[in-house]
Amino acid sequence: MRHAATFARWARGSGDWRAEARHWTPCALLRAAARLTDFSVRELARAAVRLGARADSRRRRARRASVFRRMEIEDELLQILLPADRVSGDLSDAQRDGNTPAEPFSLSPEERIDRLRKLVATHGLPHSANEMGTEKFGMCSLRGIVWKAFLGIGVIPVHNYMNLVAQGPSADAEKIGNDTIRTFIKNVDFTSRVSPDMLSRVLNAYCHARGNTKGTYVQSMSILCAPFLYLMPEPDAFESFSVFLECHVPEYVNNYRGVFSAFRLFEECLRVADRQLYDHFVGYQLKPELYAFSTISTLNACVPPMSDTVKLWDVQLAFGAYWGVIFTLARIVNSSALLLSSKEGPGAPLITRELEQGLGMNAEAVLKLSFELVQQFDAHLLQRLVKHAIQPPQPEDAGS
Amino acid sequence: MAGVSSSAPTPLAKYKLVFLGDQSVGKTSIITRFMYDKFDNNYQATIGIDFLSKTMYLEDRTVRLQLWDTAGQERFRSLIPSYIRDSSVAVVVYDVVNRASFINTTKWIEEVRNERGNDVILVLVGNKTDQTEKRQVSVEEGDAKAKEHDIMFIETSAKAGFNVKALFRKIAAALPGMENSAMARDTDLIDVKLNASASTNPTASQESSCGC
Repeated sequence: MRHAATFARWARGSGDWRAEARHWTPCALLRAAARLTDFSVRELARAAVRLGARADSRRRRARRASVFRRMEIEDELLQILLPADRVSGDLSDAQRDGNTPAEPFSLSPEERIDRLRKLVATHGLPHSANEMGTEKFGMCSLRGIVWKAFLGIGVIPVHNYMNLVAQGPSADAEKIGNDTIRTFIKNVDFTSRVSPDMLSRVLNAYCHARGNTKGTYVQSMSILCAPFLYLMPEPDAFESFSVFLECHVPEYVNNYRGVFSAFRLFEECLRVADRQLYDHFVGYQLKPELYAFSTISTLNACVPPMSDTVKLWDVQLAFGAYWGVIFTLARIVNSSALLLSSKEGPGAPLITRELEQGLGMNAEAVLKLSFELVQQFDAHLLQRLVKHAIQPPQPEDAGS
Repeated sequence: MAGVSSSAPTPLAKYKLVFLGDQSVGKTSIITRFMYDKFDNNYQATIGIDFLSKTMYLEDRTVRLQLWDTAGQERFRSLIPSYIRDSSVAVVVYDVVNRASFINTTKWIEEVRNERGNDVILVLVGNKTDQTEKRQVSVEEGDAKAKEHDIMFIETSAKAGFNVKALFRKIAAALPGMENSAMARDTDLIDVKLNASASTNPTASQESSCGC
């Protein structure tokens, strides 16, 4: 079968696959992924029942209200994964299965991405999704492949990356070196997969690709690059990182304009989500600039472990970088009792480095609460959240 | 964690110390040496700001220090004035093997003066003295700059543990309001107001062998 064969070649990164790979869609990958992992349809159905109502933030209320809608989601997920569960042979068997309603291969790319989003939101990717260098997927991890789908990256122009690397150190090489030797250096899981040299090559290549003007690299950018290298080979990570910065968080990069907008939105969200904690912070004269700077500006990538970060990034790559703000919110609201019990007086920065390290991330708990919290925000707030990382602040946003 | 309980019936005197300076000069390292008596060659770059607090037990009094560890990165600069606000102490750090970081201390000092005027204790700190052979800024230059701005001066090595405790003792001795504090008795540091000739104070070198 053409898709399966193309996919296999594409995944291994070999052969004359580039022309065909344009037709690749994540749905085919999902089938392959499901076969590889311990997904069981029944388990998935249970997960869908539990979480189905939260699948799509925009239409979440209607979904929650309707049991029928919930069943629809369940059906959709079953459709995506049923063939994989049933068929043990080649992927093509799934397509020949005439009993499968609404054959996914007949769907448009947009519909397939939509399904991928739903899967990520309702069930999450399998535990093995971070594995790189597998026989099935080749150099890139399954999670990396899914991320590239969300970023709209199909073909990786490897030569482009190689040429950029061949240009050697960029004008910002020293600053990059300063950061790369200390990016998650204590995190063995990370350093066993990503070396400072890999980070350095990708970041210098990024500067070269942007014209090699001094100041293209700004401190802490290495943290945003790290999750991609954790999951992908260098050329893929380079491409993904570039698209991510330019399309998903342009307002977060060269200046912190989007991050400043995020602080104001964060306060509004906190006021809705946890009024007591909001008042507590106000009483302490604490602003998100103080207690949430690192987490918001790095979309929570700065909080170890990386295995938790990538689960959060699944959702923010699928639905938008604004989820980073909601995750930060959920993490802080989850620690509300601890923060409220502080005995430090007003003016004290409550979230100290020690507390920050003690809180950890706990992606599962953060995701669960995030899906609940987001339902409390009104449309206007959500709309501004969605825009803040990708658009400059609009005049009508001010003071509202 | 340090300093949760205090037997003193009166609330602890609290002071905010903000650490400023270019990237990688060792702000986090100095703080970590002071807090935990530890050093690491590669700390994660500070993103934005980081907070630590420590109760410091002096001979005749106890104070609570809130340490504000800021990022040296340029796109973060616009937030710096808001962090300097309300600070009792500003510690401006440079790297003695990085001349540019020394030159830039003028900007950091101005930043503090703009926000706090003379209502702040300013300390200039030349860090990384352990790297003797690579030194680009002499101790005399550091001292001269401190005198020029009428602020305190000390050289440290967070790596070797040199002078870090001395730095904090020096700061504690000079804290504003200390002379009126209920806990402050018979202090022998009479001239400690906000400027002082502390840059020429020899105690720094005397205490240099501690803590390592």
